[in-house]
Amino acid sequence: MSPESLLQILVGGVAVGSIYALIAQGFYITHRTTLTLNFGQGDFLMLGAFLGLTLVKAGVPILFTALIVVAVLAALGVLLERVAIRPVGHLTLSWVLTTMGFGVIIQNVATAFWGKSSQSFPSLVGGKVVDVIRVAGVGIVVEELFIIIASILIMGGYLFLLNRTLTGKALAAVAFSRDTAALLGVDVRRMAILVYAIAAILAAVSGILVGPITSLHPFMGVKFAIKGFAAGIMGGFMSPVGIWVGGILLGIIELFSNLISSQFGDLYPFLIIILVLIFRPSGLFRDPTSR
Amino acid sequence: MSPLRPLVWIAVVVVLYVLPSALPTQYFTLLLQTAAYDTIVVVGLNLLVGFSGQISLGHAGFFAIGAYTTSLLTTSYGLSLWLTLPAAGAFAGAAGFLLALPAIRTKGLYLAMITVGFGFVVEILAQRWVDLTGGTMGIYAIPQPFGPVGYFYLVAGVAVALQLAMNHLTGSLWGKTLLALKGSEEAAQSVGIRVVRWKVVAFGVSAVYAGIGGAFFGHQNGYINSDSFTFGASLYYLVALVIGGVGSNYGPVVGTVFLAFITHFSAGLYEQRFFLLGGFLLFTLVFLPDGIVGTLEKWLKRRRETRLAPPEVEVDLARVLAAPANGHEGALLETAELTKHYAGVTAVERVALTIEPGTIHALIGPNGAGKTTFINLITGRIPADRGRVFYRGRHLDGLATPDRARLGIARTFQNLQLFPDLTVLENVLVGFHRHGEATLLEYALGLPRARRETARHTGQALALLSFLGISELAGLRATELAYGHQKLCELARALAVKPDIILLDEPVAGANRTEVDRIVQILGRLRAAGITILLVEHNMDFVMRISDRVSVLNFGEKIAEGTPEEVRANPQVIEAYLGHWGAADARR
Repeated sequence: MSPESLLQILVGGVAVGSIYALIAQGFYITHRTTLTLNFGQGDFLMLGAFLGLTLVKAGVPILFTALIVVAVLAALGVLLERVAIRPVGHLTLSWVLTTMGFGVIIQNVATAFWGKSSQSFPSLVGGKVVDVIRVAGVGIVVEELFIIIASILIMGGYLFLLNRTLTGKALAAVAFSRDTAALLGVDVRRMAILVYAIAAILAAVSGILVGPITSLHPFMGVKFAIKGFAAGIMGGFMSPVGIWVGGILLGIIELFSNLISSQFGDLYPFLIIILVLIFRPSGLFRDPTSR
Repeated sequence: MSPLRPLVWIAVVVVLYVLPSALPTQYFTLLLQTAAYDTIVVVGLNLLVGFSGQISLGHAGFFAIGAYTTSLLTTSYGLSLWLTLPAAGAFAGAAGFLLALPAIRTKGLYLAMITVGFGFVVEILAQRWVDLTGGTMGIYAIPQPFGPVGYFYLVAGVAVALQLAMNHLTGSLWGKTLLALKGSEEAAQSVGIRVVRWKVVAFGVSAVYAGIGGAFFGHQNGYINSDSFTFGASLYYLVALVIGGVGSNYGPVVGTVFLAFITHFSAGLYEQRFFLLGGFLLFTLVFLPDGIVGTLEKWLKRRRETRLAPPEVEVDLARVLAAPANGHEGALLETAELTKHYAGVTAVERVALTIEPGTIHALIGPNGAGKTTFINLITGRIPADRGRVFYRGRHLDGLATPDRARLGIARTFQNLQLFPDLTVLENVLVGFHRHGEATLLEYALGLPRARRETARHTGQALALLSFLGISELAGLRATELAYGHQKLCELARALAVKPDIILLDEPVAGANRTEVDRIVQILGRLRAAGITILLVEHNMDFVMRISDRVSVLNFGEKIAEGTPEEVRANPQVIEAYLGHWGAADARR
């Protein structure tokens, strides 16, 4: 393999890995704050992608498309919290089933609107999806570069929100102790709604970003949810940055393993989850003895 | 058991026998077959979700393994159905075991996620490993024995047998053990239950049921392909379980039959089936969380609230509590240099403590002195940073809480940890865990050893409750009791371990004077019966009355030790409790 194609694969891996990391951040932020998460997160992503596709095809500029999709999905995230999380609480595993149920309803709605066959998304940056720019003599797919840059920006905003704002501190307080946070005047219920909206927005953005480099299908969500989860497990589900690194690693591993055998390509993230759980149950980056 | 029980089962058999002729078309016979093997799957799923408190979103994967196992073995190797059926269960069970083992050690949620991935992986393999599974083309010419009606009888017969076995399991001590660890893993470990092992076994058994169900699917049409084992199928089983009632014995069959007929009558809505399934899930979980059967059961139970009132018996404590003899002489429990820090905060600092057998040893100290942490270090709930715990002269390094409980170290909790799904009697029964010998199979089949064991433990549990004066509460749910009674129930559960030493975390907190007197009496009798007691308590009056020896912790360090009188007079202790001026006052 030439060094050039090696680099191309690397960039592609970082691009899809960034998507997995964004999905995992949605899992992380909701679970940390509410002890629940959305098992239909992948379906949210799918819906975001299809909505984006429809709007772009209708000639809406990409920026407006993104804004509209984000708004719709955020509202859906709030609805999810209201109908599938709050009524059942976090004490039993009922929320796993209710969020799952919500997800398959979205799948069914998507099938009704967009049919069951695969569709493809136009490029987000204009031109063709496969357009390549030359950086220091190496050809890099523009679309993938765009994903990487966009996800860095989103992660920046996300980290800023978590670490530098009062809201972020309130979220951390709820994660540490719901009761104490509530006593200190943090509106725990509003925080739950907020994190579900944030998770849905992350899914919306990932859906639009991933659109051009994958084929769209109402049942595509599960695959992304599993990979997002694998990314989170690799990162140990303890810090946003660890999860980010985990996602990117997963993306790179996936693209390289596809080179070797594409027939069972989707199995690798699953194998990785199992291996990580056996040998490094607290993630790749944390010392397993410290808790 | 009620005398009507055999009649009910005869009626069930008659109904099953008549059904195919009552619904005479071949179509309905197939529908009945489907309902029968789906019931097997859902009964197994119920064990997992309703009793062990786990969840599987990939049961179609085990179903598929069962279907492919029997299909391949009968078509390629010509094996008989009677061999391939158990093989299907075994293969699926093994897969469940391997899947659960790494995941359960970490978090329950991880397992749930991994089951999603597992179902997905099986789907991919079924589709793309064409050499083995035939992919979407599938496997043809799978034997279809006994004709449609005969085959229904076979599937229904196995379903009834597996339902009966499950009833035995869930109704027995085995099932109560699962419910216990579902309710409180910490308390379950404190009586010696190896929680991880039990969860994995429950997962495996559940997968066996799914595999057998899948095998029957394989022989139903003589043809299978990869389209049948999708995520939607896994979801279908969960919906059936939730509608019927999670955790009730007959929820699975009711839910499955209900859903089978709903699906039948809404065949025109095939394209909307996910909408229906998702809607059912959301609706049932939010508005009818106990499902059809669970709601009925609750309603019936309210009408005939049973109170068990066994006679008060004179209890030979020494007999009930007799633990296996041991040859060790000298201190029962010792700690050396025991240390625990939390992110720079000292909880326990180099504490050396010696507890002599047959004594009541009190551990006192101001709030935050590290007393509860000390107990948690002894039981192995939290790992020590440094130092060791010696029990009968042997160090306990590397032993987890259940292992330590099995050596005879029992405890109660400061914030009560009763098993909420169980009655008072059952809470105590689970306490006998380490003395149980009967196996899963013996419980499933209701064999003599399992029955004898249950009878013996029940007798001893009632004796313990009687000794503590709460035997008339035996039939109530533990969480329905008043606070003081809950504490006694916890004590009874800890005594059921037949411990050499029992660690009591604030046994008289919140008790009035009469209750305190009673506990003084109880602890005195336990000491007389040879049980060693380490107690953490703030009620000084109580401590001084009952203790043989008192140790004082302050900021994690042991600052004094001696008889109650010596400790009471110790200026350092007075200072720790009352501050420097208080100490000066006391000296004056």
